[in-house]
Amino acid sequence: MQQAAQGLAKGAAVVFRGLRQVYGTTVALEEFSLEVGAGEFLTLLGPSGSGKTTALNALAGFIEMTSGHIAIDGVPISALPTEKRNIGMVFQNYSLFPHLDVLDNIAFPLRMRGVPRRAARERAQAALDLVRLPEYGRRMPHQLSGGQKQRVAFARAIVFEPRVLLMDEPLGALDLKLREAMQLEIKQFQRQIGCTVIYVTHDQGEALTLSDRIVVMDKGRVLQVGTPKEIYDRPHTRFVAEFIGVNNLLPVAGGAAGEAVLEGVGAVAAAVPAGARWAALRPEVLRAAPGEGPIAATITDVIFLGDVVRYAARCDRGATLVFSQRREPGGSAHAIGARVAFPIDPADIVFLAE
Amino acid sequence: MTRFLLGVYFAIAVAFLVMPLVLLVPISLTDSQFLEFPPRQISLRWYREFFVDESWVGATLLSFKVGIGATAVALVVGTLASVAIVRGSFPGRRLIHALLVAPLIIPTVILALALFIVFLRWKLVDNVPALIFAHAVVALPYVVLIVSSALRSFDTTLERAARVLGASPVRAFFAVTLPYLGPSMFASSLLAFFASFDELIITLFVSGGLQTLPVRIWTDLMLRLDPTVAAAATMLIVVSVIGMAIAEYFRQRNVRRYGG
Ligand SMILES: Nc1ncnc2c1ncn2[C@@H]1O[C@H](COP(=O)(O)OP(=O)(O)OP(=O)(O)O)[C@@H](O)[C@H]1O
Ligand SMILES: [Mg+2]
Repeated sequence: MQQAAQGLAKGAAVVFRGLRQVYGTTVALEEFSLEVGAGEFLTLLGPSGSGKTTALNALAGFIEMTSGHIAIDGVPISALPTEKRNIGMVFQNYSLFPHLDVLDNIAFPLRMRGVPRRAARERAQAALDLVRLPEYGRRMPHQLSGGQKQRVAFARAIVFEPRVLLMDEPLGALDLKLREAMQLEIKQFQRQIGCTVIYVTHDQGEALTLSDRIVVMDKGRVLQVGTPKEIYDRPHTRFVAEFIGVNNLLPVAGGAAGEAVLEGVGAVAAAVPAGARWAALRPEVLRAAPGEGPIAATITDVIFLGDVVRYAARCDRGATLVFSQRREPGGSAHAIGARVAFPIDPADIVFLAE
Repeated sequence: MTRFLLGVYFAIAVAFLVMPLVLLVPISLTDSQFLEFPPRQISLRWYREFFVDESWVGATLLSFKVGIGATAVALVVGTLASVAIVRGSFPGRRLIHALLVAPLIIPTVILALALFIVFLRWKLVDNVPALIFAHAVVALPYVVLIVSSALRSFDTTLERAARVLGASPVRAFFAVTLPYLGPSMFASSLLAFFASFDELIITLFVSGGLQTLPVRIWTDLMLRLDPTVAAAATMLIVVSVIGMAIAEYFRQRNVRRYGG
């Protein structure tokens, strides 16, 4: 395992080209094209039914695609059966084999590859050490906690040193605290092993935490691909802007040159790109000062979130803006009914065409 | 489903086996020539009689032979048929399922008559393999019902997991699916075995001179009645209770492992 961590240390590049998957009248995947770099941690993020699992299933060979092709390291794999694709996979419900103990579960992929029993068990033990459960080899899966099952499933998926690891909502069944702890561990394991990871989640926080790049999907299509920062700061579409984090979305009305009129808010000195119909403003970049101004509002709601306080304010022209402020010593808090003014910085506005 | 059928089996067992047991055990232990209750003198005389009498021993051995043979045939055919019915996507799956389960519903006399006609035509009367086949027909519904319902409740992502980890489809079935089906297969073979072991009517029609244990008991009832019958019956009860206990143990273990 140590050798694997240092020696192999290279994932495979995966290319999806023009994948299309139709179930009856449902289009599960449409024009799905994607290039995943070697050793990259890529996350497919999208609402339920957006085709994330379908994309993974196509790569794993569980479904026959309607059209399109997939290559691993430039080699087309469409003709290869699942068991020859050499892909590691962690399922949402772990899918440990209930009749085998932990060590035999982890040794399973090695046994299938013809590794003798003793050697397979030794390597399985090394993988178990890696996920920090060295003492658990003799337990049956039903004797493990959710987090332990998760780690065993991970060990089983990487023990044969696959160059691509697929994870379909691997933390979906865990509670929030455990999920956050496991996110850090997964990231750490991946750095040690160096394999390419394609990760599926519909939790945007998880995607932002783990990924090198995020693919936002909806209705079987790729909407945007980018680093977490790009996706967060520069969403291309209204859907992405609304799906990731909280955003104020305002219709844009054409104003004078060099002026953007945000409906229900007011005019801002910003150049409106051609075709822009929406303006997105993150709550945390929006600053509010007590008092009156050109864009003034009344606080209608105060939500305490621990380290930050989120406010809702109704502008005099009708729109409601959400903004958040850190709780700093001496920082002024706004009360419901208080008057605030927004000095909106044009650089914080993201204009969206659709 | 397995649980339900085992429950039904249990209720029937209680009604038809355990209740008479109360009478049978003391009767079998009598020292007298006749069936008497309560016995005046306790002895194992009729148990000895059972093992000394060649016709009893021969009938028992034949019953075991036919029972095991019929169970093996029903188990293999029934499991394969279940896989085809549950996993396949060919037309007529439901029809095949109905046909395989039919012997459980069709009155046994009719089935016996049909088999008798076929056996006469192909000169199969008085033939042990043919008798095994006839019993397998009766045993098959239990296997098909139990195994196909277990297969339906099986989480196929386990098979997918095995596939992606390097197992061919056949290997994945043997490595992952079959262990899950194990307890159901065991329970259904138990039911299949006793379906054959108990079977009297069809056997009377098609066996010719062959005497299975039920036939032996039946002829005994026609001719003379001594407590050997009670001794044989008591031993049968003990064997079936042990079998059911083992089946229940495996079923519970599966429930623990795979969840309810
Ligand atoms: N075997 C199938 N038969 C018919 N429709 C299917 C099948 N599998 C998926 N679909 C449909 O394809 C679409 C995409 O499904 P998919 O499972 O890829 O979504 P997902 O993004 O993984 O969603 P979730 O987050 O809920 O897991 C859905 O509309 C789904 O109903
Ligand atoms: Mg899914």
